[in-house]
Amino acid sequence: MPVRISRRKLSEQYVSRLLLGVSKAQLDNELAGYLLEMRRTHELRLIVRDIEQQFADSGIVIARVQTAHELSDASRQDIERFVKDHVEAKTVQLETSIEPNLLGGVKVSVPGREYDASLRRKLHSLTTLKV
Amino acid sequence: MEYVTLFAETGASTGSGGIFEALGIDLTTLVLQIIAFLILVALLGKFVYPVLIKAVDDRQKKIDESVEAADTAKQKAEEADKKIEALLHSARKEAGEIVATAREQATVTVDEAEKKARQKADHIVSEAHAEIEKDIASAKKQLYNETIDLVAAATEKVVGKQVSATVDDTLIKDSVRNSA
Repeated sequence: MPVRISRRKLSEQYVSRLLLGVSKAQLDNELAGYLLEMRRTHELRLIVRDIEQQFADSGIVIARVQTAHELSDASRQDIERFVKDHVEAKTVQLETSIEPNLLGGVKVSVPGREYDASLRRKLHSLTTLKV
Repeated sequence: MEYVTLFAETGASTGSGGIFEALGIDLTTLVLQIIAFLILVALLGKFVYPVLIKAVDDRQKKIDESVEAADTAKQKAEEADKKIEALLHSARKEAGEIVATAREQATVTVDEAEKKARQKADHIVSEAHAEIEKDIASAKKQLYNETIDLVAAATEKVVGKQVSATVDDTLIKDSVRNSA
């Protein structure tokens, strides 16, 4: 019977082993197996957030970038620079996704922060002016 | 009567009167007639006159009583008239006062009613104004919100069609660089 490990410990082990060179696929499999066996799959989202936070604490920031169109290389570099400046990260890894509902602009999410410069957000701001 | 006539005749036969004879008056007869008259008068005074006088006195007394009663009645009637007049005067005066009081009260009541009606009308008008103001404010608010919704919807449609990948890229660069 495996011992119950806290989310913080799980994320610390995941990050430390990844930094030691263990492949990401292996770590994902082990983590998934553990969560399944311990019936803690409902904690997956929280564990991923903890892992991202661990990376951020180590100077590696995973930024989720949502745009309405495909990002150009120049825009990607600008966003990386923007994230580095704002979270003081050594390394920034962008995970991009296309979200047409944003209409335009960009939405960047890093652990603990979110920067939303999308047109959808601006339109939403407009509607919040309603009284 | 026969004795009287006989006496008169005796007297006349004595021849005592000259002038009476000249006038054709029989002195004896005259004296007898006077005596008879006096007796008649005495009898009348004894038996008839008292009854008549009493009847007259009674009648007079009744008349006097009637007159007195009439005077009393008249006096009482006059007093009653005076009392009635006084009562009428008092009643008229009282009626006048009552009417004046009623008019005054009616005036006061009408004034109060007018005042209340005016206050109520003012209140209704004030409430109506407030309600209108409220409706106007609500309509403005609704119009404002609908305008925002329309602007947002129109902007979304226009932007959705107009923003190309190139424009979006420029937009991203600008927003990221301006926020740096």
